[in-house]
Amino acid sequence: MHGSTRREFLKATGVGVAGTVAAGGLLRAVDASLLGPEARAATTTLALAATDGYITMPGREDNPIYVFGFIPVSPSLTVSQLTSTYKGHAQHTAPTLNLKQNDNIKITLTNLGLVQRPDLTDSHTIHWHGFDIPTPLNDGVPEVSVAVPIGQKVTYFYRPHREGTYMYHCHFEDVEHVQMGMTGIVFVRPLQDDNAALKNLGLARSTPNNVAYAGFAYNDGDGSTGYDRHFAILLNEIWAAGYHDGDRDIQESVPTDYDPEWFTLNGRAYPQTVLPNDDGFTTSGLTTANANEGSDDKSQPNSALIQVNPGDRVLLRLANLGYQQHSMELPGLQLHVVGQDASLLRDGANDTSYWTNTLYLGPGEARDVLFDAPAYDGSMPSGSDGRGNYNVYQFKNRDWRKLSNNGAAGPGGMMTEVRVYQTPLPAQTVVSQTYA
Amino acid sequence: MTHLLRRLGIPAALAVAALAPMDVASGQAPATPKTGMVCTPQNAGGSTYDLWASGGYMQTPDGNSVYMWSYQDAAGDASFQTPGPVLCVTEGQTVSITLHNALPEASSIVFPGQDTEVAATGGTPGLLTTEAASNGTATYTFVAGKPGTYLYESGSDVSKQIEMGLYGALIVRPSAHQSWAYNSSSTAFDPSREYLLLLAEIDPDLHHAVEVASNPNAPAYDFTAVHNRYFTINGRSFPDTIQDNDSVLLPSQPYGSLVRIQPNTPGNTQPALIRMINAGVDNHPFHPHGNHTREIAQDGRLLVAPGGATASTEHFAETIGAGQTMDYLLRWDTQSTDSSGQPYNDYWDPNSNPLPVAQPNYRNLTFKDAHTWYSGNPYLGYKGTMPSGTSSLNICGEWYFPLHSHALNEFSNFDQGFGGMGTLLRVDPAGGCFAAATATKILSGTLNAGSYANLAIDDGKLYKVNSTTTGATRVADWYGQFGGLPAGATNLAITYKGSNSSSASQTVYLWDWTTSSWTQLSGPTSVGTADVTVTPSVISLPANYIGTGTKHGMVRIRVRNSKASTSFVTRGNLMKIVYDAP
Amino acid sequence: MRAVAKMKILALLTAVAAVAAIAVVGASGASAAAVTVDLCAKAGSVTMPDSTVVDTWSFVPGDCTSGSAGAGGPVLEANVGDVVTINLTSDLPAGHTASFELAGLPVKDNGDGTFQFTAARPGTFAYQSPGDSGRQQAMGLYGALVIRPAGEGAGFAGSSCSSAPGAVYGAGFDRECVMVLSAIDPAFNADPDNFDMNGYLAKYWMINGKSYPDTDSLAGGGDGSRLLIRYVNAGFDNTSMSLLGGDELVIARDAHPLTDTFMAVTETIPAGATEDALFVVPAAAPPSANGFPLFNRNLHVTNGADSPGGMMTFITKP
Repeated sequence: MHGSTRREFLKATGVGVAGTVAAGGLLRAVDASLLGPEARAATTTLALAATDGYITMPGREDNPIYVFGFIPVSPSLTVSQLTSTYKGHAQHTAPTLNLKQNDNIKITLTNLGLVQRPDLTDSHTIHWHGFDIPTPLNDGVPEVSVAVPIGQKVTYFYRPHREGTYMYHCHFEDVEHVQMGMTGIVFVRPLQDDNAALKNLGLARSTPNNVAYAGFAYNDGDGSTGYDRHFAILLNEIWAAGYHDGDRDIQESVPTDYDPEWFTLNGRAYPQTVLPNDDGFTTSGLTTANANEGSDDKSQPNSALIQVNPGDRVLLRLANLGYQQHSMELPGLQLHVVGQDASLLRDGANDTSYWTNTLYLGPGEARDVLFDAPAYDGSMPSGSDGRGNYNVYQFKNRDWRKLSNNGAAGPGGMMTEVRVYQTPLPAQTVVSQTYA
Repeated sequence: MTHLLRRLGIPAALAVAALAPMDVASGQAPATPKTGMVCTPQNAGGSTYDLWASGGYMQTPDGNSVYMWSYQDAAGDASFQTPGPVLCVTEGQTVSITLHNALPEASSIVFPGQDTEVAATGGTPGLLTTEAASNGTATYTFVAGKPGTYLYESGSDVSKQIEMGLYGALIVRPSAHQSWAYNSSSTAFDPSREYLLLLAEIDPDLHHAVEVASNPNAPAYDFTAVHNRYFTINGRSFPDTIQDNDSVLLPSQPYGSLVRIQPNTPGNTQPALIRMINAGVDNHPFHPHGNHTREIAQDGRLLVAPGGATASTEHFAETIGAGQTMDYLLRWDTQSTDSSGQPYNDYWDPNSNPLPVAQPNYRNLTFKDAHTWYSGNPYLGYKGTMPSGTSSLNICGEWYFPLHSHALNEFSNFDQGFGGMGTLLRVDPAGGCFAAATATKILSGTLNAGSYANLAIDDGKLYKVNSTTTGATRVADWYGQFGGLPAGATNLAITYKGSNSSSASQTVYLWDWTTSSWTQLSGPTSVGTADVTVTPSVISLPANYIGTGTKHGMVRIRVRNSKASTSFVTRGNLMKIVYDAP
Repeated sequence: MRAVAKMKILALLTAVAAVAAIAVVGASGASAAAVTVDLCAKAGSVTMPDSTVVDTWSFVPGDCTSGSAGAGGPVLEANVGDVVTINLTSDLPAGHTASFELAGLPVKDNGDGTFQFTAARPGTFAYQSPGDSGRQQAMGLYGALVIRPAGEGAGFAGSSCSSAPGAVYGAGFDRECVMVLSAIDPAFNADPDNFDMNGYLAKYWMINGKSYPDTDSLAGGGDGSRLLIRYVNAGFDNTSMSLLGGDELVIARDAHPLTDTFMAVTETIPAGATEDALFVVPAAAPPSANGFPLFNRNLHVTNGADSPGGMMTFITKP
């Protein structure tokens, strides 16, 4: 949706794919006003708009789910321009924000208001969850700082000194607004990504994986968190009968009645999770009829599909903004947890990383997880798509209640696929890239 | 807590207020600190306690009153408290706890994590441990084991009795180092910043079933149907959690959980210690805003690598399992190095290190429900102007960040958000609250140049007053006026820095509002053309010097310079006060 | 009712005995053997302490010509390096086909009812049939797999505990027990095809297929005896298990040794996860005449509304 303005946003942030805001890109400008050790820092300017919209959950194709969400927009647009273009067209999940350590990040949030509920004049905020915040003004908690009313904007400032995976969400009436869909992943790339010598440690691997690492999860100093591809996946739940339908129909919901019916990865429930991204490269085919606007919205643009080559070292950036704990399995593959909560798992010289088969992730927690894609094996469970044959490994919740869509039989819920291709895919150019 | 009040023979509700000004030097027990973990006094003669298991009521922020079972350290309804008393002992001490069971069924205490024998006398054997019959007693005696944070709780019909509230905290301190959490220097903490956050939940329907159990029509108690509606820290739900310890508003919930820290500085290097216990039945994902916390121990066991090095981990959220304890260190460093070794200074200061983004126009933004903990200014220790109709609960520009369960349905009071399992982290300015003059008045002499604003920082920008120009003694006499000091402020420290165009005799005074006279703080001292800094002794209880009524919160500092025969100019560079907010 | 329960136990004994024979194959001297295990997935039932009979699906040893299903499959055992072929016969109700999955090791589905994996590393694993989006696991198609360094430990030989010494990850033990944790909602089990998962509410909580007071206690041995507890959470819940009167050294999770082992009193075993912990029997007397309590600290220690019950047992010492 809104192709031209989305491209404008991407141009402003120097990236090439919607749903993924690779900030710190080509158009970064050095902020000359900065002195001292931060002189090398670049300034990245981003803009998000908050409004309402609709998404689709399997089993409710004819009755879209009402959501609030953040949309990536061009920082140069006025409030009235944003309103006329984006109001009522929220997406869920919010765009994945890709930032660089020590950069100056300026994020402007504009509140466009709600189409479905013009009577509901809720403000919004951005809480950068997990960041060490040296002033509550930028923490986005309305009770201890400020919130943005309809038609207004505010610019938050962050300078992330700790690389790793975080999340962001609205903290205004958070039990409602987080559940309503105002959630996304933000990650911070380490300064070490500029270290060619460490990247070249990847060359020592055996053919055909003897290539430099694309990047690192952390400033590990030894290349141990290098990766070839990375994927940002947000775990979540949808309580449709509560806030979503309640807010649509002007009904109060009781937070302690929380009882979600859908379990999602990047705002999609299986089998939606394995559809491609909606971006400049691929189209998911997943659209939602927006009755208020008379439009078909690509409102769930973020795929959870993990497409890799044999031998790839893969980084999963996982975060949970549901209200339940989740135990995730990837049977057949070993998971190496190298970071949690934007902290390298190392205490001094002591390696505190660990290997697991069941990734246990509570609400508000993040993990950086590496795995090595195995060789392609034609006799393993497999499928094929436009890229040829692949082996399938399921990344799925271990709780059988969460592998269902609205309680129904059949595959669903919090599950996606790792696909290991027989014919190599091109190198990843943006996080979570999908290939049709 | 209630134990202390009982000893004093004062009704609890009155006693709390009466306790506040009590003086340590008088030989009486010290007042309960407003924040921080409070240890329950041991019985006279050593580490023995008497605990009563009985029923009572707790209040929820949404106006509900819920029937609880709990441990209390005195018999009778007036002494009911939830959670149970915090028991603090030292490793190696023999601890003896006598349980007096005032419940209608057998009950007991178990001590998870104590790996020496807990010898029970009295009582009768039960499923998990020795039990005291209804109206009976049992005594549990053990040698306190490894230092750490522990839970004590009921070992009888646990799916009812623990849900009903029969739990409390047991703290075992290292024998050699009371301000280390464990026998490792890596666990040293600031003893004035030791906090306990004990998590639990309440299903009011199950509690009601127990409350009315003697009624033949009482609903059955079926734990399978548990549906928690209230989520507590130290027995209170937010926002009650940030009330002081022993708040008169919450007579049966004595323990607050506001976490107060100051930024670490070269003179204040120790972290705060946050002891967390999950006494509830659900695993809770706890999310500290503002900064990472460092987990150093689980279940009263220090996390170490095989070689003995520490194996701590940092978190911005961590799920604490039901029955687990976790200990965290919390630092707030103003200057540091990042993970790549680069130094950075994100200690934003309006003068020396301003934020790269201009402050928003607060009139265009929302303050939730028109009241806020925000100061109206992003910088630590500074206050701004709030829009009309918005009231600020902020005292002196301190910061607030939530600490809460990120299962956000638990960050609620039944049907209301922003409640439940949450508290606030309060970051005070390093060294204390500070204030700059908001007005000046010249008592003798005339204005030469500048205004009160020039007194705010030590920057060579001056507030200058001409002396009188006639007579044998030439005088430049003025005062700076400060506003907004909270009642109950303590430890008032004054700094004045200034010079004269030629040497004069300087005296500094403070206005006493109760006697309407000036109290001399320093001098007379000769002050010449070079800046002289005057720092009078800290005034520990400055109540007389803080205005009330229409002069609410005002402090006046007077600087009088005099000199024989020759006119001069007195030049104020800096006038500031620092104090501890209540 | 008791008679039914006893029949069930006899069946289990048979099952474990059959499995123990597998371990003997692996432990017979060869460091890497080809091992074939016949497993059957079939319908059965389990009788709860309150006499409720709950329909289940479960793995049993053999080719489905004998044995009856209870709650949870046999303990499978192999030696490191073994190439294990699971010869799986599915005798589930129409429309359901069992399969064999390990969270921690790659398993090759040969497509002919056999599944193959290499016992690449030692440790405690969960096996499961993941079909029908987890509904087969909810019905009971799960079990524990123990892979041992060759020559370490003698196998469980007809019990969930063994009194034979051994070692894992270099940590010696004197005894070992498997603790398979799981839960049942009988309403689901009565209608596994059509049940609305949104209404799932477990009423029974089990250790090795039994709820207290039917649970087996863990014989810890005398003072200083090292009991290896192999937790396997085959249920859906992230379960916190609490120990009274002592602590346990957590040495591995998900069959991966921990770099930094640690002592714990209460450990959360996530759904699907395993954990190996060493409990050294204290010299002190246990807090209860029943032994050292080990129980679900999420307080799932009831059978429906009946208390005590559920996921609770005791470590005994002589």
